[in-house]
This record gives sequence, C-alpha cells and structure tokens, in this order.
Amino acid sequence: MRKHNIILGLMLVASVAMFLCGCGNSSADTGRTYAHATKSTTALGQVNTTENVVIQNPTVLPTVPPEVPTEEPTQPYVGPWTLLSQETLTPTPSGYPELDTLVNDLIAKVVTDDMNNYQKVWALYEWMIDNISYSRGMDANTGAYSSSDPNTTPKEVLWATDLLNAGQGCCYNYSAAFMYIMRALGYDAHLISGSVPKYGGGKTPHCWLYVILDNGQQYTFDPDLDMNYYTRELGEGAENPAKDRFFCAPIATYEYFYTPETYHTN
Amino acid sequence: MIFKGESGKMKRIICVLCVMMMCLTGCGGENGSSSGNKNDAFKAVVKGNIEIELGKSAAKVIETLGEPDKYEEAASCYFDGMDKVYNYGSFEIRTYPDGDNDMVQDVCIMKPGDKAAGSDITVGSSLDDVLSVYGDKYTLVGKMYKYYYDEVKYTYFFIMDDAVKYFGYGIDVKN
Repeated sequence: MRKHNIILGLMLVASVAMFLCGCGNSSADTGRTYAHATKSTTALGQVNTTENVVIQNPTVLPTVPPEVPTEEPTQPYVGPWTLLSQETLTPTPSGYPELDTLVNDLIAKVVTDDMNNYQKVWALYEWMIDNISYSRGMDANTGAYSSSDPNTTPKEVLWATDLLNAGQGCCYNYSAAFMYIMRALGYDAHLISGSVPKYGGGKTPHCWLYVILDNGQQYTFDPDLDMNYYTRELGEGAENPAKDRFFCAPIATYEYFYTPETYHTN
Repeated sequence: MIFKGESGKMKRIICVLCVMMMCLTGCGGENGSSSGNKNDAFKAVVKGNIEIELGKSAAKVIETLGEPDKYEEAASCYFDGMDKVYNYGSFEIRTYPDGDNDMVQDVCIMKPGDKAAGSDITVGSSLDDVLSVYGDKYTLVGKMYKYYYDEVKYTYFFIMDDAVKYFGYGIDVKN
C-alpha cells in the first residue's frame, strides 16, 4: 500500500512538472516575452534556442558592475525646457487662411493656459506623433486634401494643410505642418529637405525642420522620425519608447545624420 | 503516510488533477491563435467586384487590375524600401514595403461609383448620410472620419464642405 502511495505521489509530481512545461511553452507564443527569455538565457551561458547555438559558459563570472559616473558634469546642461520656455516669441501666421485656421484650431485644442512654452511645444509635437498616420499617398497627391488653390499656394502650405485636414502624411507633411505650428506659437522655424541614412544602407530623401532660438543656435525638430523610431523601438520590445530623440536637439549634434539639400523659403 | 486510509479518494483527486492540468497546458499552447480576430480578412471592393485585402501583398491585385493610369514611388520615410501609389482613375492603391513584398496600406475611392461596404455611401454623399449608416463612434482628425474595426484597421471618409470627397479602407502601419 505504501509503495502504491509513493507511485501516486510520483504521478502527482510528474503532472505538476508537465503543467509547468506547458505554461513555459505558452509564453513563447508572445514574441516579446520569448525574445526576452532567450536573451537572458544566453546571458547565463545556456542554449540559444532562437539560433540553436550552444554558448559556452564563461570560466569566471563578471563581478565588477559597469562603471557609473560619480561626479556632476562641469558644464551646466541647458535643455529644451529652459530653451523653449525662455524664448522671446513673435507669433507669425502663414497668411493662408485655411492653414492658419487649422493651426489655430489645433493649438486651441491641444494647448492649455497653465502650460509654459516648452509644454505647449511638446504637447503639440506629441499630439502629431500620436494622432497622425503615416501615408505616402499624401505626397503623391499634394493639395488634394486642401481647399486652397494649388496653383497659387506654395507646396509647403499644401503639405501642411493636407496633413492637418486628413490626419495623415509623410515626412514632408509632418515637418511642414509642425513648422507652421511653431511659427504660430512664435518660434523662428524653417523647413529643410535633403536626405538621411537609410536602414538598409545608403541615403533616402527626407524633410525636417529647424528652429533658431535666442542663443543663435539651430535646433532640429523631426516629428516624422520620432514617430518612426518610436514605433521601431516598440517592435523591439521597448516598454517606454522615446518620442523626443529629434525634439529640440542641437542640429550640430546630427550633422552626421542629416544632409541638407533645399532650404525652403515659404 | 499522506494517503493512508484514503487511497481511493486520492486516486480520484489525482486523476481529476491530471485531467485539469492537461487541459490547462493545452489551453496555454493555444494562446498564439486565440487572437485570430485580428487576422480576419479586411477587404476593399473596387470596380464592383474586385476584392483587395488590406495588409496583404498587392502583387496579385495589381496584376489583375493591370497598368495603372498613374504610378508613383518614393523611398519610404518609415520602412526599408519603396512606398508605391497606383492610381486607377477612380481609386488608388497605396502600398508599403515589407521585405520583398509591397503590402496594401490604403485603398482610396476618389470618384462616384464604388460604394462603402454595406451601404449606398459613395463620393458626394453627405456627412449625415455617413453618420446615419456608420454612427457616431468615429475618430476625427481634421476632416477625416475614421471608423476602426480593431486597433489598426479602419474605414475612412474624408468630408469637405459636407460631402464625401474620398473614402476608403486603411491600416495604421505604425502599429
């Protein structure tokens, strides 16, 4: 009888083990969880299940943590909050009624009285990233989503109007719209088109904007790329992806990245 | 010791536990396919009866439709490859690159004729017409009314001066 009970006990343990294995497999159904599990497993020197390669255990486990800076930086950092908040503002409408109405309506919708200037700019930038959908069709049909006369309206105005009317666009639409939003807030904003590095190598056409602040420096804003990178990091499993890599960044920082070709005058 | 004097009862309990665990492990393995609704076909219909599935390769439908009236392509701001726009006069197919394939992102109806799924709404219909059929659960940006089927798929109506100027079917590729 005792032997019989031991056998039953073993069956119970085996069942629990089967259950646990089953749960482990189910987590593989969600790519993100699986990827994390694989990465941590290989870090411990086990089998990389994704590539089916055996990684050798290190002979000595690292005992020293990564080096962390312990001293304050000697140069005080002046970031977007200070730069944008302290700027002297001169609001400038585009002069095109349809676009100016769209821009003013959006500002009224997104901005609140208790925001400082930095918060206003960020709120509008983030609104564009979160609410505008990427679509090449807007570039192929410039002016098709606008009631302005395409024969007498600059393409930059049409790019911006199309995006704000239709809620979609590509880099030309994103950057033109945000340039006119920044001008309406009072910043000295300008549009550039040129090229940036391509994911598969080489260069690809792109459009972005920069703002000249009171310190005389140029700062880039690129809502299309921040929308793009935001999503790409999500795809890689980032839980809190950045949306501000190209928000008020000194343009000199990105000289290696942006190749300007046309400085738009409208 | 544990099972002393209760072996029959315990056997039954163990059997029940085994069955439950088998069921649970089985359910765990099915998690990946339980969200099958997101893979349901989402189609546009053009020229009366040609179906175009959103988020799928455009190759076959482009072959069926033949030479477009107008074609444009440009390096994608978003993906590695070329975005393409095929204009067939009354409608337009917009694609994004995914590896070697061009995937349908948007089918835009631009002239009266083809009607929105399950309705008589077409280019020129009024906002009230749209609201009476599709209801008021829309997302509005500018003049674009979007009715989402799930997180990414939607039917849209671009309404200017109280008339549908374009309508169509799209997916948010950023998701």
